[in-house]
Amino acid sequence: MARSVPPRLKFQILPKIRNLSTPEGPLGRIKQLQKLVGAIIQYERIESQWSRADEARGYVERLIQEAVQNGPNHKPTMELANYWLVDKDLVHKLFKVLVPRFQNYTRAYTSMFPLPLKMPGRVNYKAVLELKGNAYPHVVPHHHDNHHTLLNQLLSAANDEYRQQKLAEKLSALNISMAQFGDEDKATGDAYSGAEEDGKGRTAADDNEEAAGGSPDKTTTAA
Amino acid sequence: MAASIALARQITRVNINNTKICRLSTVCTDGAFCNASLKRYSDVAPSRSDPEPDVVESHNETLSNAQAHYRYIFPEILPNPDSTRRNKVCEMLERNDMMNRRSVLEIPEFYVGSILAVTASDKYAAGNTSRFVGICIDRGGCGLRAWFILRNVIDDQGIEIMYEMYSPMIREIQMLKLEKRLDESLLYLRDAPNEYSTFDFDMAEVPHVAGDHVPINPLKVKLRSRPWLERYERQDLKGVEDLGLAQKFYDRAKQLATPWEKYDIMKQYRATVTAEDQDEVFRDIHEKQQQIEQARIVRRRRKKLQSNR
Repeated sequence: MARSVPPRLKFQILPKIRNLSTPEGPLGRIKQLQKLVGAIIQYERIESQWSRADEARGYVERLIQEAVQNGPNHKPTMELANYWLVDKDLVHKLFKVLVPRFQNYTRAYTSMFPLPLKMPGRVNYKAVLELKGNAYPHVVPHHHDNHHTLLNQLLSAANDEYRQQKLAEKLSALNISMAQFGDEDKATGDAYSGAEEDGKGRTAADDNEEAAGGSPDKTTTAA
Repeated sequence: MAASIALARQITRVNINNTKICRLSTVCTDGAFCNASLKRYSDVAPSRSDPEPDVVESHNETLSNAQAHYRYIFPEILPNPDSTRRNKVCEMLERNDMMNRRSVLEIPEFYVGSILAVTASDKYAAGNTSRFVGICIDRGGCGLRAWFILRNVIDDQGIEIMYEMYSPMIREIQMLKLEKRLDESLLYLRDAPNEYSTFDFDMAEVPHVAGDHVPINPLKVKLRSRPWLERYERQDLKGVEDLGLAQKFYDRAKQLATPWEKYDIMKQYRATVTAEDQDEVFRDIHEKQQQIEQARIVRRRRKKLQSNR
């Protein structure tokens, strides 16, 4: 029972292997990679040197790929898992936890992020390597744009209304009507933050810009 | 026989261990000198000495069984697995050239260990052709640069000719005996007694039913005593008998062995053309290959009819 032709890996690999620095030569390299592969399967997120993490990433991906493709009853795959995972509990984790998780993945099973350099100091490129679908918070926080949801739209409308009201109160205290102050700026927060003279100045400037063909700045703030 | 000696005379000749190794040098279609790389086929997962599986493990539902067999039939159609040497356009052009050549010249399925007869153009031979019979001891190369080496012993003189498979000088390739041996390379026959690589030029064709399993010859070769051309004790050969060396040789071989490479999945990956790329190649040539096979069947029938009359 030979292993079948491997499918393409879903991330960029170097055309040649890296010789990781070790006094034991090629076998030492494999031993280091065994440690890293075990750690990734166990902890699901590790921090390491960039080169080592990148090297280990290929092995982890290939191991999971084989496990997903062939399952635990395929003898060569089991041998492979047995070789790369020194802690035998991880063999169970690979076939019982990770294989179901990655069964329908069409993209890479791992992701890697560069870490910032510590300056001043030795230049040591570091990386975070993680299995996808882990329980930790995201490495790079990603912000969702909730601007257009109904709740946020209602809240922003309420906010605008409140500011308008406040402005009107302030103006009435100074005996200036809203009509005199100008229609354009009454809804914006900018007008509220500025004093009376500033507000007037801005209105005049905006009028001029509109006459010239509209201001791009204003459209963006309105959007 | 004399013709083959004449052929051997006209081309480069190296005398290694009483073996004349010849090289049929030709000019490639792109005009460059075809310097066949000494790189063998990578471990494209199924080792060629492995028995062919009953049902080829198809990685892709759409890839038919026939297409999946192409990697056994003509492994040289796959591109170089080294990603720095890949060029999609060049590969496509070469594939077209190869299929065009195959539509004219019938290149049979063969393996290391098969016995072949090659007829090649030779302006110094009588009738301008020379026929050489021998056992394929090695093959390799990708695309138009694919090559194989035939070996025979003629008048107690070992003769080897490296043929470039798509060379325009080749007129005919005849399969005399389709079989595999226990090893992927039989270069150790150079250090074996002559009887292991002596084949009759008038050898009758051993019939092989298309679609049958390719038989594996379990012959174990008894090598001559040292000195050898290579350190065979370090090569983990299956097709040789006990080498009869002093213990220190085996100790050193054990020191230098790399048993972890069996598990080095990324090394194997880098030496393999991926499943997606293989599918693309096989799907590309499938139609042309069907046409070639049809034409071959028609040609054979016509030949049979003519011989019956």
